[in-house]
Amino acid sequence: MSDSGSPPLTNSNPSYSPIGTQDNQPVLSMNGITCRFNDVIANNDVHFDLFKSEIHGLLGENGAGKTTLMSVLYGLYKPDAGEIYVKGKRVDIKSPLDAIGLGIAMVHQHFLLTPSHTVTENIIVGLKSPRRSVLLNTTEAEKRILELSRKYGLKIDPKAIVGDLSVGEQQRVEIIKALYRDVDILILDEPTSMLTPVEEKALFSTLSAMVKAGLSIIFITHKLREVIEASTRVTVLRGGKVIGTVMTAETTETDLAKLMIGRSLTHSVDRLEQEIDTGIQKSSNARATAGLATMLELKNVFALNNSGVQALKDLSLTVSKGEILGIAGVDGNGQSEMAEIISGLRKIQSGQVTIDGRDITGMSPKQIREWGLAYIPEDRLNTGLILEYTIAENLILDRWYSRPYSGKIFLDKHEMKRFAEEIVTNFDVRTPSLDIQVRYLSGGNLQKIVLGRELSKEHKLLIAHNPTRGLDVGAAEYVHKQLFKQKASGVAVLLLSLDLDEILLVSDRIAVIYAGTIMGVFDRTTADVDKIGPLMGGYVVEAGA
Amino acid sequence: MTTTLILGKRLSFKHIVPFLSGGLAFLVGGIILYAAGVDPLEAYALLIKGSLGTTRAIADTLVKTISLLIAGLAVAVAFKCKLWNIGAEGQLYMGALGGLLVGIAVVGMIPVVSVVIVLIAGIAFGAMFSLVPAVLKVKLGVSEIIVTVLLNFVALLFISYLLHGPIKAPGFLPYSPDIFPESELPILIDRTRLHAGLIIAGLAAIFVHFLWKSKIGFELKSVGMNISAARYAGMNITKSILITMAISGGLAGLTGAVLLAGVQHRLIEGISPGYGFIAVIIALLGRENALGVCLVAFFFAVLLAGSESMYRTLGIPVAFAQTLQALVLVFVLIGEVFTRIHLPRRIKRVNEVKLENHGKQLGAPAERGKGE
Amino acid sequence: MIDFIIGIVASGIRMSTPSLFAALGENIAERSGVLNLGVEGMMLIGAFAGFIGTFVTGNVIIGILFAVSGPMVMAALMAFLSVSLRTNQLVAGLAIWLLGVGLAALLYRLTFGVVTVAPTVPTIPPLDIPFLSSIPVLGPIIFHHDAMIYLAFLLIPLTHIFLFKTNIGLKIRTVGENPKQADTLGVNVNRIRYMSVIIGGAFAGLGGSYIALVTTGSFSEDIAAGQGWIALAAVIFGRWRPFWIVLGAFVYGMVNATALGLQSIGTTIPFQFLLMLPYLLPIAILAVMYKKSVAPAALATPYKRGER
Repeated sequence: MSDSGSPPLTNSNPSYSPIGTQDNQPVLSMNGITCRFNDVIANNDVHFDLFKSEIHGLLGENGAGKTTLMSVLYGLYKPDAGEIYVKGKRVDIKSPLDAIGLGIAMVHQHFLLTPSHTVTENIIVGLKSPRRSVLLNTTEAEKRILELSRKYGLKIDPKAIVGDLSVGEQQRVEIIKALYRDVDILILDEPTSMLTPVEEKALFSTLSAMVKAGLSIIFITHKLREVIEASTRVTVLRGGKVIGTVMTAETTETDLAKLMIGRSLTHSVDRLEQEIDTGIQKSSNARATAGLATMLELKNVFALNNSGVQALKDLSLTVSKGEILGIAGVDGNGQSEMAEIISGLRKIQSGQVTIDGRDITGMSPKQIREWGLAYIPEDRLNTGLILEYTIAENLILDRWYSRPYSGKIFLDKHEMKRFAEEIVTNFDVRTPSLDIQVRYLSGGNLQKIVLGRELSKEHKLLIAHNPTRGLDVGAAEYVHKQLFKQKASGVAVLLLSLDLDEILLVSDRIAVIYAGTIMGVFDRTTADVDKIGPLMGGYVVEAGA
Repeated sequence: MTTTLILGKRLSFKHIVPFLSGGLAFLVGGIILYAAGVDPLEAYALLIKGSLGTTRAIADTLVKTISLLIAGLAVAVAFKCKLWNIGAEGQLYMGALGGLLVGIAVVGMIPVVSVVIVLIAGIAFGAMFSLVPAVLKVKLGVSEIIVTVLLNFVALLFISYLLHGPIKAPGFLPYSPDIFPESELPILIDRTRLHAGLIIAGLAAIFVHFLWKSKIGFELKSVGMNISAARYAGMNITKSILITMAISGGLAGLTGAVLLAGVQHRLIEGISPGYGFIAVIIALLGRENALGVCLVAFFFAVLLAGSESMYRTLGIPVAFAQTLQALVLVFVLIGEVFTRIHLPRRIKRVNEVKLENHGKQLGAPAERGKGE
Repeated sequence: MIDFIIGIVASGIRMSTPSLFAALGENIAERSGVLNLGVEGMMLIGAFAGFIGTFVTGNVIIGILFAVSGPMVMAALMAFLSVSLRTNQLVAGLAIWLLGVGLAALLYRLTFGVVTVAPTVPTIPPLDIPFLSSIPVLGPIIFHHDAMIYLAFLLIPLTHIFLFKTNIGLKIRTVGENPKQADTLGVNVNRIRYMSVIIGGAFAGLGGSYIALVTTGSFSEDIAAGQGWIALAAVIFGRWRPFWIVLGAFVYGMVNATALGLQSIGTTIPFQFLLMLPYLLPIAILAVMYKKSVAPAALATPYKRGER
């Protein structure tokens, strides 16, 4: 039965176990895929198979190579080595158009939609009209969209403007966009990153419906829980290499975690704190009830977002000296706006913001910084740094006007250099030279520069917004250590993060934000996903439930 | 910045691009001339002779350099801060107007003081005129590109109105009265037209050079490079935009005042043959620093002076120089792409050599073994 | 009096035509995400090419063909710089503008030398649409124009249909809003952008040739007088929608026509101030409505597959 184009059924992977009957060939086979970007090997001789009607999870940390591998499959990257077989035939996927032609579709993590167009327009762009007409045919398209919507339980109105839809609805549009084009293989990239726990469950049932209808699904994620819940088979990637492929039913979260990062996952908070040379109390209870002074207070704050929509609604919270308050919430519920009003980058409509007893309403960002705010922004690339500047120039962005970095008129280049050397040493920034533009440095190093700048001056309050996003485990751990150091020295830390695991790990208290309001506040010892989850989705928990 | 990385060699492709582009532009220009029945070599010989061949020629070239340099600096300052000021021509005329008003009103002072007041008036008028698009931008968010361009036409029409009416000198032509002699810029070399504006131009270049080394310059530059980072870091965006435009307009106005006080000594309708527009190309080619602007301004002055010679002898239109200038820009833009592609590779090579040394110097211990 | 007004309105339509052509074309380019500041330069090349084509062959149609082709080449250069090389589009556009200005002036002078009387070609005469041009008031205003204006009238709904009712139009708009989305759905982003910019060039050529072949019958270096820039402004006032762009161009034309009309009947206002109005008005309109304008999201942003 073998022809020269068929891939071998087994590969060198020790954990590999084929499913189905003997002549059940994989619908997809990626063999020996290697991808190199400058110095980094993103995929190193990767073998990956997909069988019909399976949900195959592709698990790995940020930077493990999962998205790269799927981008190769979808024709967005050309691999340096390797072959791809679809339904037994060797194929060459040079562009997304080729992938679509082979029945492969991809739902991206960050939706690729045009907010000002309708659902239908977003879905059918790039397709030819029936009967070779030049004109757009939305009527027939709408019919087909409704059909797909019914078939898979993805409720959507084809005539709706995408910009008006919720995140969950937009994802449904993305999925239908993928399904619309005769698809056999569906790739989902971190599909739950923007969903509430409830929407997540709905997504998983949709996936089941799809595989029952004959689709084969690849599911990229870094969340262990999801893989256990939703997949039938898992392939773990680490550092660009395949570590193992197992049947989900035959493994556990702990096992997968070991495969994924090569060591035990949860570094306990206690262990990390021990590494810091201070004499703080280990018990978080003591901290919560210690009656520490309030450093930051938001009282009944209302504010609009850039589109004029109410982003913060009657929001109140406090952060004490020497505590880390974590804000849990799905992206887009007011976290950015909260950071912006505290730092003076956004006006509040009403309410009060107080830092160390002083009402900062109307103060400029510069004044607030001088009063004692340090701010690690969400977008370190575009907001935290100026990529064309050197390390030294970036380090003085917030203090260029003050001594010793400048005199009466001119900048003091020597002082700037000395400061840069100091930060590079203290924060372990890896760079070949102090004079290159920072855009040539890696993400982890860029974040260290931002940290170095923000933490190297007198401050009372620190806002850390998604401080470890996109960083690998080592860099993330480093950042967490810095946060603990801050806490230990009495700084009030406001942690905004989309990673619930991070919040649970690091915070002393946890507040849940939804639609611009705080839904509830928990002490770390009493917080868990079951309580926080529903609040993140806007469900008010009954007292005593 | 990149040259420090290239061990030993201070040259990189980036430095060759301007020369290569100039050469290609001359080549294309030569083809056009040939097609029009002119011997390109003869024409280019005339160009060199007419701009650099005699003392007189060099003086004339330098006179043009003065205007191109100050105007080029004006636009370069704005462009470096990502403010697309295409209105330098109009601001130039307004500056000339300011200089004129002072020059025909103020009499009886020491010449140096007189001249200085004329120049200051030029700067002031230019700066004020440039604040119109600046205010529209900070208050209403209007893009400065279209506003500055349209205001050029408005300024020229306004000057035309004045020269045909309120400030017209007696006579048939739309000329203003002459400014008083003490407000004129003195000639530096006898029997030439080279005037003290050269010193002013030099001072302007030095000013811009030190501007970028100053605190305020750092803020202005940063706002241009990345407005959200600048804002986040506490910089004052509004103030920066207004100051940048004022400096830009002020320098453009200075160009006009210098033209007035140094060459024409009165205001006429064609006092600037489009210097404000040529300045756009000069700024795009030399925008990173004052020295670059100086070199490009001189080169373009050579082209302009030489083209006058080509016209007199061979009848080649002055627009030839304009076309060459634009071609140089196009070729530089194409050439820039190659520096973009090459750069990361060079860094990689240097990494391999220098990383160890710097690693030791900066105390980044290889032993820690944390993943990166 | 009424005749006077009819005259002004008809004149207003004629004076808005060059920038209208250019704006309709620039709109297509901008909808695909490319901001082409070189419109003024392309219009000048179009004017020159149209003039020389008609002058040499005596045939206006050939002239118009020349007028459309020249700017298309320049537009291809603009697309090369902006799309393939991914240069800063503002800078590339400025380069194209200045190249167009220089080249048009140079080629004209090289061809004709210095003459005391500028060479001319007969202008395209107005065409009466039978029956419709006899309607009182509306007739002379709308139906008594040259063929190019009728072409412009036709292009208005055509560009609207092209952008909003065809498959390719949807591709163009998506490329301008979210090029990555288009790319991942198999749309060739670069090809769409090249096409859109070159169409923009063709339209700019039509606009330029109108000035040379209808308005003046000749060519001079400053014949465009800023109408390319007005076209850019009109695209903004028109919020990137053809029918509103027409309104913007028309307002410009009307102000121009009114200024000239006032001049002809004699007024105390110096003519230079009247001539300033067509330049000041767009500034005023931009000031009033700039905040509300929503440009295509990817406008002036180069796209490369795989870049973050």
